[in-house]
Amino acid sequence: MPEYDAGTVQQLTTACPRNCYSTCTLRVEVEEGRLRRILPHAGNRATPEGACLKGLSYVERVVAPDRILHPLRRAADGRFQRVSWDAALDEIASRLRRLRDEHGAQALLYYFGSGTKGLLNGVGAEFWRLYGGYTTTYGDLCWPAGLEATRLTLGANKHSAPWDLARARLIVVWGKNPAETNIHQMPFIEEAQRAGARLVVIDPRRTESAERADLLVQPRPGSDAALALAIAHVLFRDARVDRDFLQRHVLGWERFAESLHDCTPEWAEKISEVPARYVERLAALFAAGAPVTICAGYGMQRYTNSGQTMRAIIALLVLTGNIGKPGAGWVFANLQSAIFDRVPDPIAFYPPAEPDGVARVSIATARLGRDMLETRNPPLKMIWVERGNPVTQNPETNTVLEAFRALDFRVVVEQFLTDTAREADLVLPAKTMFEQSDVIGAYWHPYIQLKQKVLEPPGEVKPESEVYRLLAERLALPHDAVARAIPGSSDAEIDAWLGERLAPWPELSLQRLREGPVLAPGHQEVAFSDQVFATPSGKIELWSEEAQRRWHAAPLPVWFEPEESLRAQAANARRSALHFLTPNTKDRIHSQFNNLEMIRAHSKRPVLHMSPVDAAPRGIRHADRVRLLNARGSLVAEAHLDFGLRAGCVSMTNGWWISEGGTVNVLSLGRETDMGHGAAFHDNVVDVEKLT
Amino acid sequence: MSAGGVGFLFDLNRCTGCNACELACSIENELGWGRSWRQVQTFNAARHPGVPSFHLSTACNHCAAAPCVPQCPALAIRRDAATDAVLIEAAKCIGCHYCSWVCPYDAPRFDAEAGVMGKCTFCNHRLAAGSEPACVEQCPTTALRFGPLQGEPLVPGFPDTAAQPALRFAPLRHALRPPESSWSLPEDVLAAFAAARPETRAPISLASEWPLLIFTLVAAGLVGWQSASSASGVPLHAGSFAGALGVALGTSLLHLGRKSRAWRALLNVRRSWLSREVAAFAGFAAVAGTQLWLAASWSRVTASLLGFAFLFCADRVYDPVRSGWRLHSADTLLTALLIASLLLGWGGAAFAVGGVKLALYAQRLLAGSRQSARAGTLVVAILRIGVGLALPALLALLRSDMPTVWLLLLVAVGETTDRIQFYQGLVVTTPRRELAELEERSIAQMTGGNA
Repeated sequence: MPEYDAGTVQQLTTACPRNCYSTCTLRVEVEEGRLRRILPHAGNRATPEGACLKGLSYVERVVAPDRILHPLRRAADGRFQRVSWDAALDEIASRLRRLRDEHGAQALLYYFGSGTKGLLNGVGAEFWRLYGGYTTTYGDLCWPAGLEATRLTLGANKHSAPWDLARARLIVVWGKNPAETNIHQMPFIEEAQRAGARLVVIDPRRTESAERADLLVQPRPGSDAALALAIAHVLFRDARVDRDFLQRHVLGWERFAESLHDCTPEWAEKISEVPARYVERLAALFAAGAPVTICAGYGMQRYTNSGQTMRAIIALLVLTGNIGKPGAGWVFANLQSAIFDRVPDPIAFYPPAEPDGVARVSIATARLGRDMLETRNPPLKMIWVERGNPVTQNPETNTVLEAFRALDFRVVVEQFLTDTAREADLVLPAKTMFEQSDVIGAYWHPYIQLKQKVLEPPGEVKPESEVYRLLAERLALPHDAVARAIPGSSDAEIDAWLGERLAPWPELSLQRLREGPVLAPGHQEVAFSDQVFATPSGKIELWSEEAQRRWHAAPLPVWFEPEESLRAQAANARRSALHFLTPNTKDRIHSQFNNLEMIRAHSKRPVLHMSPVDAAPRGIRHADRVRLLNARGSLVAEAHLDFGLRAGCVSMTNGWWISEGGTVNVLSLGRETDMGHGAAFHDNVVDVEKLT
Repeated sequence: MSAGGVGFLFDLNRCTGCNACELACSIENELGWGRSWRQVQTFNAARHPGVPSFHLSTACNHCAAAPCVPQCPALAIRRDAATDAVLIEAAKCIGCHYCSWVCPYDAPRFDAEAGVMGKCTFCNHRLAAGSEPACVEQCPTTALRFGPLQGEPLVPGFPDTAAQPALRFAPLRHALRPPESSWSLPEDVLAAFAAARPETRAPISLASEWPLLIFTLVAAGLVGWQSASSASGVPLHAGSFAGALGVALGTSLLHLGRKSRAWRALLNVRRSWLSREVAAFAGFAAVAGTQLWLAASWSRVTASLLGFAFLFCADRVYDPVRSGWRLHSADTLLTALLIASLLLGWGGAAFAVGGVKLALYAQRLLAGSRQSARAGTLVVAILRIGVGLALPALLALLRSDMPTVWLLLLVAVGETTDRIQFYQGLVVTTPRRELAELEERSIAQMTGGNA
């Protein structure tokens, strides 16, 4: 880290490591150890204009009055009291020793979320390995169903560079709201539209992204595959598929065509409640639109049918030959910058075929609470949480809370007293992104970046790598092994450790990354332009044996009703049941940021968006207080009439803490997606009633 | 257009309402977390199916003909010679809020901690150093830019004024056509739309301006009383008169953020009606106060002249925020004339002034009832006309020995009621209000078209 000159303002390059598409490159202005401003960095072609409001709010976040600056121990009366690092680490070490002796090391659950990207995150698992073992999770909350569908179909999770979108003639934003969750994609959409491209948005909500669209298609949640299959039906019916492309590059397209015989627009209308004429319109747009890019979101792949849903949607690009060409393609996840991963996602999420006896990968992230409670031999006794807030963000909050409270001891590494931190026995103060250097990739643009240290950690904050080192000392873990696995705490030692990771690529060096982002070695600006598909057949697989073998799924994309939907529950139809949508908002990344005043100025309290069609029969008027409830729990919110939301759905942004008014996950159920070990927590039906 | 010909350029197609500009402003100008001089306004936030939703990001437009500059009584607003930025000088501002009344863009905001008005400075310090305003630099979609003024001077939803704002627009590509949707909302539920629209915050409200209500009523009474006394020797009770004068002076100061700088309100007599009002009132108070002890005829007449001049100016102060009524039945000048006539026992004059008031009130009432009949209109009308005008007139006609004080009390009820309505009816043009009216208009047109 460069030296500060008192009285001068320094501008340094860093990158935002949130779990967010944009992963912006930032110039930060530091004056005498104070973060003054977050400025744009033109070196990143995907984010040249700078950060969103969350990125700008870091100036508040690093010095927020509620930031945790020293270890906190829960006292007998439930309140937190400040303790010294020595006291905190001594207690953890002694509990860890006893745990290992009495129950075995695997009685510890090491849980981490997606709060911060970085290679140094890996030192956690290294430490627990040296400790003797641990239990951990498999699967992921975010995107495995879509990753797996993409992997099965195209062989790899990559897409064209963000700026390639400007070359599209038809952009289909399917289940994504980039205006709020990937704002840096909007200028490329605008550029394409100015050049005459059509924009279609498919979403049950009339989102901000839909406002400039030519067409907004609003299907019933969970029905997207039916829509896609019916479009495919029309493309085959009208001979608008790219036969040449299919014959050369695609496996199983003939069988797919046969399977679509009954998937008519009228069939899809019954399922999706999208009028058949709009299915015809969409098919005509796909047929005439080349190059076509589909920007697919993550929300619609958190249903129990969503692996197949995503396969059905990708198929539309395959049928029309929109793969591997400029301005065309499937924009879902671009893992071209994940060059450091030995095993690529989503395979890395899956439990290993052969357990190694050290890491017990046995808890489904999607079923965190239930699996924790049901774990035996040994049962879980202690948890270590970092970079995550599972109490609000994992499905089934009440079960997660029950599982947390059933443990003997809980350690949470956090910057703020989140709902999860409030459950801890010990809270350890966490660094922010500005307080330790790290190297990060991204999943939308293809840059490798240095998340550079620009501030000293305030108060008694220690980065996790240092905490692990101190714990290793206390546990008398083998010194050499620790030294190899976990870097020392000085800036020079961190830089050396990162330098080693970068060494295999001559184009990547800390020196270069300090100036700005560097394109990932070997990245393709137009993904699949080489027409190489790393599937078992080497072709794009509409027919996937692996889907059948690994997930017991139909080898062709199909639609089936999600486990929890209004239709699936028609038998015991509850008059007032509604689909519960829990999308992300521009104001937060999941449960981060809402404690800041800069953000709260725009996001004051949890609001339930509701169609007047559903509000009227319940006697609910605008701004009424309502209760959402189902078998899992209940939640109170303020109802807002939303005339753009299709009927049968209600919507509330996720990420609110219980202490801020309530997390949406008290209502969700922990269960997995049909493929990929994702969390199908968007299969969620609730009742809404007016509070009197 | 500003002399330099540069300003904000705003592309409605690109703005997603992300609020980054607001935060950039807040951080650059160290306004405190969550406070900003720039505001993002949203049209059709509740998503009426007939119109699109869009945003306007607005701050000070550093207008070439900025009304705030000449209207500031304290000469606290100036234009920077180098950058054409319109700037409030905090050290000179008295915190009277008047600039927020005359600005059609809702730019000046009261800073309660500092007791002065604050607004966008164009990031003058950055312009001087050759960089763009912070909001422009930080806009992630380039919706907000800075440069030579090219583009549309006006878009639907933006106030159309004579101020010549340094702002140009790239209008919506599809104008006010919404995205076509596969989902259609039944007509009958659209009636609930009005309730879901966000409320528009009015810069002037009775809740905040009650000191002005008291000040203007008491001052009108004092001028009426004093002039009656100077015309034909109606007695002036020194104690009551001085006491009332004290109340008027006190309430006139109440709404100032910086009371110790109240003297600065006199600085702009050349151009500001507010300065003139303050000067004339100060003169009236001084001469009329002197008159209580020195009963010289020159001072009586001088005080009356100053008093009426003061009321004329006071009524002019409200001109920029009157919604269509050049002459109002609650104008202070008319109130003072009515009171003076009553005190003097000049029945004809009283009937004439009362008649004018009645006519003005009735005209407004009729125009209002055509638009919407509000609950309470009848009660107000009874108080205003019945108690405040008709009853005293009737009593005066029936009983010539009716004590004047009773008539005055009844008139006071009417005048207060009317003056309250006067404040409630004041309208400050703001982008938010303009957007709300556009929403109302376009939706009314649509339902009209469907019916």
